Parts: sequence; structure tokens; C-alpha cells
Amino acid sequence: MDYKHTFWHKLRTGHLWLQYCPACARYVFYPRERCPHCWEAQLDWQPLSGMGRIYSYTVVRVSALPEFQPPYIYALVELDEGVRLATNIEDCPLESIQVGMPVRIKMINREGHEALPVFVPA
Amino acid sequence: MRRVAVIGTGHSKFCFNSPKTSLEMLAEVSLDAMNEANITPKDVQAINVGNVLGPFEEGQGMIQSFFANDIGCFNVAASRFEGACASGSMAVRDAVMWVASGYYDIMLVGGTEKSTAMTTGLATRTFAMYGDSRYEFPSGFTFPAVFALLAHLYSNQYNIPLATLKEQMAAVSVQSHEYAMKNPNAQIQKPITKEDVLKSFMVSTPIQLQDACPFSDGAAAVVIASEEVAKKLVKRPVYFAGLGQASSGKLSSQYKYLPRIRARELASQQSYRMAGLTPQDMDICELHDCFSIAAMIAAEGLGFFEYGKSGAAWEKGETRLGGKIPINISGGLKAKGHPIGATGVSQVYEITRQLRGDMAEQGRQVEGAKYGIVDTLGGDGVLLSMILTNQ
Ligand SMILES: [Zn+2]
Repeated sequence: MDYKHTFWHKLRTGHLWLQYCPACARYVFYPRERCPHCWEAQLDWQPLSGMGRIYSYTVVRVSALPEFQPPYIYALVELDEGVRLATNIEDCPLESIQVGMPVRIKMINREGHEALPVFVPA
Repeated sequence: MRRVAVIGTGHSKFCFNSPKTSLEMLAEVSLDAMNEANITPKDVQAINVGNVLGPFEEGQGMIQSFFANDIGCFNVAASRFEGACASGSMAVRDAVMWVASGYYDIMLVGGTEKSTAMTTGLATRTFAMYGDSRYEFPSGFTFPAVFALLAHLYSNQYNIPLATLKEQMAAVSVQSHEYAMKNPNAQIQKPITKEDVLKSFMVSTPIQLQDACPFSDGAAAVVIASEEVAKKLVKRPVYFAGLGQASSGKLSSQYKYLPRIRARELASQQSYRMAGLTPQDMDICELHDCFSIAAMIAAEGLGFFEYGKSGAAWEKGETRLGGKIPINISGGLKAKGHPIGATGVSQVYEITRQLRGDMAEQGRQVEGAKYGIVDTLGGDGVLLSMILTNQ
């Protein structure tokens, strides 16, 4: 199974889908061949709520990456389902961002990605 | 396993825009290391080299083989190590194990990098390659951003107001600049004040320019040998007492421990256990301060201070010469410079010379030092720990 392709493809439904391990009842992010915790081979794909909190963040003021015009917010978001992902926070005044702030998912279109998950204040 | 010693050391001046190539810098310091070890190229049985971005910097891959030939070590086994900023330390640890095993008696280990040959755009792009390219790069991963994120997390988890944390971070940079001025190999030779740090431009909140190490060119080398051979060649061999290495996955998957770096704690525990020593036994430490917050996290992970307390320790001078644990008396990555492939070897050079008592004339000798520890972080995924001793 091409799980990396599946991950990006499923985002086009407007939801974040992750692998779920029925054997140890845990979400698996990033996607992979087997559950890294219990080595279960049969992983399901499940849609997530898209709700979470900012685990930590930074406002990037200087970056020479051409795809990213500073300032932008780089953050780790902890989803309600217990998984963390590296992402951007959008539609948020830079001064108001805080650790612990509730956020919800939003799909955007960015070069190379038809649907890329970012988060906005909930 | 046999005991293994450092018997020769070499170190270039770290700088911006070196007129020399990576290979020339490495050749020069390697000849110094071989002279100090009283050996010639014919005595070198194998070579390990740390070099990270050579293909991007100078269009030169596989530098190790050209290097071996360049210095007259014809046809020996030469290997290149790539673990981002920990490449040099990986090269050293691997060589120690080869000699410890009895397979080789004498090895040359070098690290070299010419980061400043890249434009800022290319440098940013290539450094970002050390984040997860599949799931983290699409959100604008940069190294300052990673440590900036850890700084906010540190402030939050340990209940340190950000303004207080920023002052503590500044104290780390100020100390490094001060000691770099005593180190002729250091890239940055000027003092800074807390105010200078807090006034410098914002890179990625809350990290400012003076919280970060510079881009650097430079090289370092050591000759290592079995104890038996070492004792025949030099008067003051410095031995490896403990080694540790561990790895972590991408940042977002390290969730149980952040802002602690779990792999560092495992790597250092391995080296303490192997040496039969504890953090309290260490007399000097060179640790990976690519950012001031990284230095604080490292000092706690190595067991020198409680979590959330190392910033206060820096402010109180506990990390200075004469303090509880002198840290980065070389100027650290912040001011000595950080030619990424060379850094780990440079750290071993520093600790070796401290344990030989060679730093008195530079005014930065840790008196009577017996045990020193090296800590190197590659990306956020390769962690190395090495304990050296003159005992
Ligand atoms: Zn499982």
C-alpha cells in the first residue's frame, strides 16, 4: 500500500485521515506500514475531528524558503485524538497566539499540495 | 574492548568565507594532528570524515577518498559520516569502536565544512533538509523555528515568564562570546552584552539573531590509537571512557518528552554507564548550543541541572570557569563557530586539550580537570555523547 500517497490524497475530502491501530487503540501519525507500537499490520484509516490545541509555536520572521513569506506561524498542534503534527496557524493575529489555544483544521491549496492541513483559531 | 586514546589534535580557525576548500582545511588540521601524534600518513590504517553538505557547498561528494589520497594515506579505508551537525561526533565514535575492537590500531578522524560557500537561500534550503521532508517541510520547517518552538514550550512547561527566559538565554550567549575571545580558533572575537542580544533582530519568536550560532567554515581532526600504541607515541594520551548514541524521529513525534530531547538523555546515560561515572564527576563539558535555548536544554539533559533551572545557573555563573560545571569554555557553537561537519571533532579537540592542561596559556584552563563530556545534536535526530579522561 502506498500510505504516503493515501495520506495526502484523503486530505482532499476536507478531513484529516490518519491510520488507526485497532489492536492497541491508537492513532498512528505519520502513516506507515505497521503500527510502530505493537507491530499490527492491519491499520484502518479514520477521519479525525480536526479540533485541537496549540502545543507550541513560533512566528517565523526570517526565512529564505521561497514558498514561505514571513511572517508565518509554524506550530505543533495537538489534536483532540492525541496526535501531534507540524503545521501552520492562519487567520490569527500574530499577537494573540498562545500555547494551549484551541484551533480547528482548514485545508488550503499550496504549491505542490492540492489540500494541505493548516489550523485556524477555533 | 581495548582502551582507546586521542593522541593528536588539529583545529583550524573557524571563520566566515574561508579562502580554503573543505579538503584543504581538513588536510592542514590533519597534518597538525599527525605531527602531534608523532606519526606519518603511513601509520594511518583508516580514516573517518564528518562532512554534511559538501555536494551543495562545493559540488564535492565523497570527500573522504580524495582527502585520504591528498594527505598521503594512499588506499586506506576512508568513510564519510552524515548525521547533520553531529557528523563529526559520529565519525569519532565509530573510529573509537574500530580501534577498541582491535581491528585497527591507529585511525585519523576529521570533520570539515564550508557552509558559507552557499548562498543564504541554498543554505536555508539545505539545512531544512534535516527536518522531515514528507510531513514537516510543507509547513515551513527551519532550525530556528524548531528551537523557537521549544523555547515557548520550555517557558510554558517550567512556568518561566518569557521575559525571564529571554534574559537567561541572553546570559548563555554573553558567556560564550566572552570565552571565545580567549580562543584564537574562534570565529567571533567580540564581546556582547545582554542588551545587544535582546536588541538583535528577531529570527523566529522568541529567538533573536544573537541567540543563534553563525554559519561557519572550518575543520578539526584527531588521531586516535589503542592504549598500547598511544603510550609508545605520546606522553599524555587522553582516553575515551564512555560513548553513547541515540536517535529520534521527527519533532512532532517526540511528544512525550519535549522540550527535553529524549535521545540525548539516552545517549548520555549510555556514556555515563560505560564510564561508570555520573554527571557530578564531570569537570568540563562541551555541549551543542546551536541556539541558546538548545544549550539550556542540553545542560539539563546531561544531568547538570534540574529541568527548567539551567538558565538561572548560567546567570549565576555556575557554567563558568570555577563554576559547578564549566560549559563551552571554547566559546561554543555560538561564538567559536559551527562548521557543521567539523563541530563534533572540534568538541573532542577542546576536551582533549583541556584534559591535557593545554589551555592555561589561553587563560581558560579548567584546573585539575579529569573528566570531560562532549554532547552533539544532529538535526533533532542524532544525539552523541562521549566522555574523555586523562586518568
Ligand atoms: Zn498498535
